[in-house]
Amino acid sequence: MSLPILLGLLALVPLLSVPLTGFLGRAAGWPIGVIFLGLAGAMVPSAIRVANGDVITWHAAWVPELGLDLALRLDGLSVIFIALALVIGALVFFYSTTYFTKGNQRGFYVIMTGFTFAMVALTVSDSLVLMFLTWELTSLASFLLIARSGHAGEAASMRTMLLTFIGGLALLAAVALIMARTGTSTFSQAVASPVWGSDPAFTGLIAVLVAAAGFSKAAQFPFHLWLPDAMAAATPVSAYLHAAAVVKAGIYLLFRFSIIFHSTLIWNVLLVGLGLFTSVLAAWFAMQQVDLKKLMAYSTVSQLGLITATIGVGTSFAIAAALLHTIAHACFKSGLFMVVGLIDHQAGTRMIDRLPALRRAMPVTFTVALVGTASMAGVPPLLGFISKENIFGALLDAPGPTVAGPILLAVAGLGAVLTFLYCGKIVTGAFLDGPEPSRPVTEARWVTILPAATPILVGIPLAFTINQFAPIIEQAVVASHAVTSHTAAFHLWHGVNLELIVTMLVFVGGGLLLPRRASLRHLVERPLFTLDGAGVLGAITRWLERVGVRAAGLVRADNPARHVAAIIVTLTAVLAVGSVLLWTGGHVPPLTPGVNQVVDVGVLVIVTGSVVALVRAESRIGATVLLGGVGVAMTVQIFLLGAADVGLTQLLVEILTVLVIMLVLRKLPQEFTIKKRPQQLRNAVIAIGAGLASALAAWTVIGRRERSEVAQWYLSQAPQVTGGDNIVNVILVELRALDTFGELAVLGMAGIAILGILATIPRALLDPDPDPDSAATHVARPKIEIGEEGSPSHRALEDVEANTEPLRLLQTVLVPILVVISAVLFWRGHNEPGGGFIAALVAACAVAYVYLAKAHDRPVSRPSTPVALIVGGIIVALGTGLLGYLGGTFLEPLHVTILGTKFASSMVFDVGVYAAVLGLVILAFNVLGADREAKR
Amino acid sequence: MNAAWLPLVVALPLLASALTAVAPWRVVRLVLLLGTPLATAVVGVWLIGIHRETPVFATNVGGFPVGIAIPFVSDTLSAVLLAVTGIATFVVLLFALRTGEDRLRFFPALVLMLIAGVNGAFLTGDIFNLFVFVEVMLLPSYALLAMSGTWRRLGVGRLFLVVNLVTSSVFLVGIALLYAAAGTVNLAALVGRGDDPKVAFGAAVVLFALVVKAGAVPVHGWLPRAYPATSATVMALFGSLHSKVALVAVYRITAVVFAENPVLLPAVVGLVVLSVIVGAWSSIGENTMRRILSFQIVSSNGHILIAVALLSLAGYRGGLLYLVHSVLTLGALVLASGAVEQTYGTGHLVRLADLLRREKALAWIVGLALISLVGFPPSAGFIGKAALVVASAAATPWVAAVIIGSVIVASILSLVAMQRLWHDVFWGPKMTVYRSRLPAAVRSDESKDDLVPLPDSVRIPTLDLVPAGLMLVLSLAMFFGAGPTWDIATRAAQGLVDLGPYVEAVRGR
Repeated sequence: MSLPILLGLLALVPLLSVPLTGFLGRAAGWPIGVIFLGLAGAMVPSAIRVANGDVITWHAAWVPELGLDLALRLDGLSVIFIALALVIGALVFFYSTTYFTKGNQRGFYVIMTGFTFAMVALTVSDSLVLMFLTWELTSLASFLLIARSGHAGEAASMRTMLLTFIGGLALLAAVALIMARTGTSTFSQAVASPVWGSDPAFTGLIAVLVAAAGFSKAAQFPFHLWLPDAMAAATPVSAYLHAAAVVKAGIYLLFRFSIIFHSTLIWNVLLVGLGLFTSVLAAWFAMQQVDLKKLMAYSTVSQLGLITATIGVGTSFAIAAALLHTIAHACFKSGLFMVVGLIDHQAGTRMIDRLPALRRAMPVTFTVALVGTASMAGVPPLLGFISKENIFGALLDAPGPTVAGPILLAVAGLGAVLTFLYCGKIVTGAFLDGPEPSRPVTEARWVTILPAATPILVGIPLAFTINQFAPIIEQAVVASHAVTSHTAAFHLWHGVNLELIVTMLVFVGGGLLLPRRASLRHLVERPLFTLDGAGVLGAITRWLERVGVRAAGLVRADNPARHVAAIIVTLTAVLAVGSVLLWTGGHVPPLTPGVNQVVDVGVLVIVTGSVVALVRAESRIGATVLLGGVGVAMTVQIFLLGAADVGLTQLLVEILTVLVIMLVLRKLPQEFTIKKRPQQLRNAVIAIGAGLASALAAWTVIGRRERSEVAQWYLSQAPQVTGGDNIVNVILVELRALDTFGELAVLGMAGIAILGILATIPRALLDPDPDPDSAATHVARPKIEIGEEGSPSHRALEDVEANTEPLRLLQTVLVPILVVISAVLFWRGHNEPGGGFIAALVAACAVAYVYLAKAHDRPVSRPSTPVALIVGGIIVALGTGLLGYLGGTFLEPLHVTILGTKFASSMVFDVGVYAAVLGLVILAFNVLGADREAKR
Repeated sequence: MNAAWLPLVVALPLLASALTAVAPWRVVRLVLLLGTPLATAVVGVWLIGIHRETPVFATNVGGFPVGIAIPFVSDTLSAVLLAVTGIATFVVLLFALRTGEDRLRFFPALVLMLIAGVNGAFLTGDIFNLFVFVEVMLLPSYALLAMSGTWRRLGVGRLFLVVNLVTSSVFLVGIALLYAAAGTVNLAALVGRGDDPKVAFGAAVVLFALVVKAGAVPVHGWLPRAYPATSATVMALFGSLHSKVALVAVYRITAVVFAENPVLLPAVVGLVVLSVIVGAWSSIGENTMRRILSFQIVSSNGHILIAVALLSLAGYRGGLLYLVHSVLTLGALVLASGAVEQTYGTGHLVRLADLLRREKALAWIVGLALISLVGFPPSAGFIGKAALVVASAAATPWVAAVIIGSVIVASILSLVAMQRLWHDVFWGPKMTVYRSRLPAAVRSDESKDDLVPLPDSVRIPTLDLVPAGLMLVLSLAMFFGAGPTWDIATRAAQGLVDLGPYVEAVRGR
């Protein structure tokens, strides 16, 4: 069966398991297991081809440039891991059908089968990115399976996810760097790259990253703690994922990359060193456990450590030994997990302290457990014995200094003694020690025992027939080790050698210590460290959280000054550094003559003085007046530069702005509530710094080149092209009408925006609270000494009818004049200073005048008028734009001559500007100028 | 397609905006409100198709000569952005219908104007005109931010307004310096001009202003402060549009002015490192769903800026893919948080618990979106992160090391933050009290204690989850359709690396 079909079918299984669990409930494990076995069987012909030295590849593009091809490759290594995943998977599914007591276990079956797909895909992936993708999928599935085991699994699943995620990121970095350096995303091509030989630093870096990834999943120190944590998951999950699959994904990765790194020193040191360390440490931890499942978990960590160390030795002999132990371990450990499940199930506990002696109540289980632990302890004639012998041999022959081999063997021997002891603890704790069961305990049903016993018992015949599988293991060694002259040959008996002697010593030592277990227990079970792994991880995440709170706290302020300060300080740095670099780099051309005028100094003095006074002002009205002063000074500057249109606009805008601010000020206290504070000095420094930096930047860049091409064109061509002499106006309504159009919308919609916000706020909250007790929102009336009613001072300040009388008198004359001026300004805009914007502002002044002349604060128009003006203005401008399509493009000006006068469509556009501006000002007076009383 | 029609992509939403401001019939307002973003998306998709044949086309608005007129330019990049933002806006507005925000006075008009500004910013080929359209986008935003959410929206509205006005001033300063140095602000005329240090200086100031608007660290503070205080709808809208407009403008201006000139490299790498790490780290320290997400927006914007450090085809492609992922994934999460707030009255981690048992659909949406956010497959986030890391690996060693290192650190921090969110909201003891549903617009401040017993029957209405679900489906589609997505992103990035067609389209006619 070809690889894509295999993967396709495997991908269908999770989907299929949804209806299956619906129909069959927990019994869905039967068909699923059968499917897995069937797929495994169908792969046999391919496996035989591979055993004969073929490599089966298949390729299809998915996202070719990301390297996310569906490049598949079946070699010896893949075959072994696929076989483990499918066969043990099938057994675990058979076991699950009767292990679970309630529910249809849909989540379990879907995620488990999804996991199998990811695992198989990982082992046949020849694309680096696909490898990473499937790797992450296995992490995710493993997290989900722990997480769904209820509250107990929550924290554990989080830790598992975090640790495997870190490994995944290391793999991502490795994959990305390999792709960048070797220029290929295909693993088998990357292997052949000369980079590995020519750049030892790069090779070392990748070796560390890959090792970290492998360690994270194979539960090697310091990532080991997730595996015991994961025991919160159901037994079938542990039997599959934590004995045969997820952890073996980590081992797989180490095997896979071994072809590149087998003689890279850092790889050897990391794998052998940390592998053996983990092996001994975890074996010690295993001995400490009273929970059989936790014990199994630590024992798994320990065994994986041994495999890791052996891979790290890097010889082809070592690779073969590690492969054999991987197979042996997958068999006995998945069986043992299921046995623990049986004990838990039947006796109601898996705590050694509470377990009665079960050997008589569960003789079959006892036998199976005995064989399984014997294999783990390396007792002949079992598969575990052969693999351990080979591992000892591999470690002894480790390349490097001559003392290395014996030392490694000694450490591994120590681990083996501990292994022997915890194996003994399992058997004695569950079956031999303790009282007879107080309540009847029986064997589980055969359908449950059988799947548990099979992987363990198969180790006996396998021990005798393992050489039948030598060719495929040979091919796996080829896949993991570039050149091999090794012919895999495993024997139960290969004469008396050092390995055998060590094994015997292990048995003697273990055999001597085991009977003294009762007295040794309190010594062993004392915790080694005050803090366990989960505690360390918890402390780290709490620290991360504390720093996070501080980081978030840095910007936890609603006061705009805090945020603006960050922006201004950074801006100052950008401007100052940039300008200084330009000066020091000699990139500043001489100033164009005549740019600076003496009178500029005067403007500068006025502006600076006003600003200084403004920031020190305590009265809001005073501040507003000073703000107006700055504006007027700017107007003067603009006129001095010769921009009459802009100057006029600026002046009118200043006038209207001050008026509108006054409307708002009526609702605020007279004086600023914020008095002098220490941070004002800091703010002053920031502000002055920013001002100086901006000035420096302007001085550095502006006024140091000839007139630009665009400006030249405006001067020479614009009048002919547009038919208007006033360049500013022509730019606004024709050449850059799109900008004006946008700003017109901004201006008009500002009014709509004000209405929109105000509509969401209850009217009563908009005006100051008249109740003097309401400290927050009450605004006291200004206290001014005035005379009796009828006195001039009273008339001027308190008698609204009297003090507006002169204004009303003038209104009849002034308003028509303003309207006429407005019309004239509008009309002449195209050729002389004027235009829609200025004209509208003049009309707005008339509106403001009418408002001021009223005796009471009333709206100046009906509420809908300004909205209609704004919307109408926008639509008119837009309509002009669309009309431009008659000429070919949006906003293209059209010129017509009516009765001898030239008209441009831009004048219609200007009408839009006019309406929108006028609408906004009327709206401002209506909304901000009308009192609550007046509204009623 | 005749390029002359491009300005309609801006003009028609504005027309719709004006009409909805006065149209008295709700159905008209609704049709315009939902139809405009959808039409934008359709146009975007259509343009993507056209740009397969013609990579770029441009029109000179008003028919004035080249260099004088404001050009409107469409290429794959702008078309992708039109499509993505159009779809995202449409989905967010569906949520607005559920919360009733569409009934707020002038809400449709303001949103439509926002759309017009966004579209204009994507299409314009002139930096001053870009400024104008950014203003067109921001003006309605000031109002939208302050229209719904808790009362804090008003105070925060002031913050948002002040920060953006200051930033716009900086933008103008930058444009002034750039014009003073280069004599033009027309993008096609600025190609490669970054080799002149004065022009580079002006462009750097412009870019700085855009970076502030994108919320990069250290000038990010306003974003996580302002966004969570407004409603989920508006936050989703701003998160999908504002910073993305700024970031795409950063791409465009950097690509045009600097090409492969690394003069800004140290500054950009600094911004990237700070943004991805500080953003992710801060999100661990927050305590409501949307505050956490707002810092994630900062972090993801930092990721998008990586492209500006790499200045390569692969970099821009990765950045663009990450940008689209960020719009969809964070959009889904913000809308899902909004749905939680609608029903349970709060997004506070302390007040929420055990939602996994109550809300299966929500758990699926949030779970998958969180997976996407940290970059696990199968998700858009996986594609985005893998593409960025692979692109970064090809950079000079120190840049590659610093960027990949930061991305890894940020990923771990984000995972911790997301685990915290999931743990607090979906697991834990049974929830017994909640704050019953109040209309979004008049919701009082969080601090007020108005908890009532939670009946077991309370569930999020399915329709409230549809918008978040749609976003998530789009994000998943990006993973499973990675092949075509990748091709489109490649063509978009190509337009930034090879500027020949752009210049030719603008200056040739």
